[in-house]
Amino acid sequence: MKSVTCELCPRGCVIPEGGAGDCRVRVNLGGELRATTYGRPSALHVDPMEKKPLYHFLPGTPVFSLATAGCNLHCLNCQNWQLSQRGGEEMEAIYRAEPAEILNTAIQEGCHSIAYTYSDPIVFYEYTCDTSTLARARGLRNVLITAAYINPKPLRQLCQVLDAANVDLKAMDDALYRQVTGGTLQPVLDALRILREEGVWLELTNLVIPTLNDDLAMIRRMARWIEQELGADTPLHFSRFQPQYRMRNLPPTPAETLEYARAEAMDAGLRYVYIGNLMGHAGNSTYCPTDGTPLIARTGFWITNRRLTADGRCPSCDERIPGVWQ
Amino acid sequence: MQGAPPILGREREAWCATGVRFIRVPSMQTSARWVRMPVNWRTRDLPLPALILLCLTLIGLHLRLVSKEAADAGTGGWRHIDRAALERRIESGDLRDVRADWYHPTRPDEGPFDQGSFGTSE
Ligand SMILES: [Zn+2]
Repeated sequence: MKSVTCELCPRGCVIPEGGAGDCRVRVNLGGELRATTYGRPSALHVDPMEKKPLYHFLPGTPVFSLATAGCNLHCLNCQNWQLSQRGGEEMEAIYRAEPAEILNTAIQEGCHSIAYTYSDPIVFYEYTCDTSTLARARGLRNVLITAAYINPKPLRQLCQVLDAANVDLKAMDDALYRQVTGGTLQPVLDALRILREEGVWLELTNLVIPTLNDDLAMIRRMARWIEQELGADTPLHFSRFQPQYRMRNLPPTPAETLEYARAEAMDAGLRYVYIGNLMGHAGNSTYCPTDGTPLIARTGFWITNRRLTADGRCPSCDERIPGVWQ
Repeated sequence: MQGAPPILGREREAWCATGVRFIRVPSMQTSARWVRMPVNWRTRDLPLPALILLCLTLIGLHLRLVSKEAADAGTGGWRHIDRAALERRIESGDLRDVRADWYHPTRPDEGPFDQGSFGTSE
């Protein structure tokens, strides 16, 4: 039996002939590991960049977004579980879209960037790499929306063609990672450092789940780590939990929990902390950290007012706001 | 004390309607539910204990299999997939068999379901 060992993610799956990795889509056929969803996405959409969420990267622009089946984490609260917790052979909708076709469609749709998202692009790594390389050559940017459960070497290689990433940091607690996602914390922290070192624009999302990871002391520890390891200018999005998939027993996150979390993270030194998935909240908007001037006002995924200058400065005090603005 | 009658009365073999057999049951504990061991009990009751033993063996084997599969899945080992369905969809063009990056033939020192060999130390 010719088994193979996958080196892509920290699981290090040892896969016998005819079996799949834990992600369901990387399959050992005849002693060779095959990427079965390469060029076969099951989700294709044009989204606003704010939906990723990326608030400091080409705000207000449309981004062509794609995903295939499969994921290397198994979050109990996954909002895309019909996509992420299935193998390619279990999917009904599969599009045939080679990297060149993705590029053509994205350009036709008026997008200047491509997002690898929804499930986790790590499991369709080769498709992401090839499409990103082609996108770079044609002047488009690439954004990765991921839980960053990936090994250092493949990540560093992927970073060569990445422009931005939003990483879902689930909690600053290894036991919770194991319990809720089936993964572990340390590889994610290592991946975050690598993304920063490699110069990829980085934003973080933390889904705040009542009773699971809403402890303010843990939120403070997470914010401190981000401030020390990634920098105070790293935007952090606290996102509101909605009961779904295998976590319907917990209530939606109360607004005040998100407000406390935001205040705690800002007190720990982070300068751009947002509240997401809560329509119309003031915490959706970007403010100048020096004088509090509202710079980009948002309602949901839509920008309702923009005072940030074209080169990314506060019009009142000329403070440079970190990000990729054009 | 030699020759004194047993305090609890004479002991004897008995069996219960549920099939449980006691070799030495004090007579005072026998009730209407206990009956005398029939002479031919071995041939009549062998199927029941054998059936219980068989059930326990099957339950044990099942638990072993289930816990092994759970361990495989839980530690990120690998997954069984519907290979026939996969191959059909590769053949139809719905899926692909593009060679993946980042893997190697499993080395003898890599046990199955080994975690952490490619962890954060690289
Ligand atoms: Zn200002």
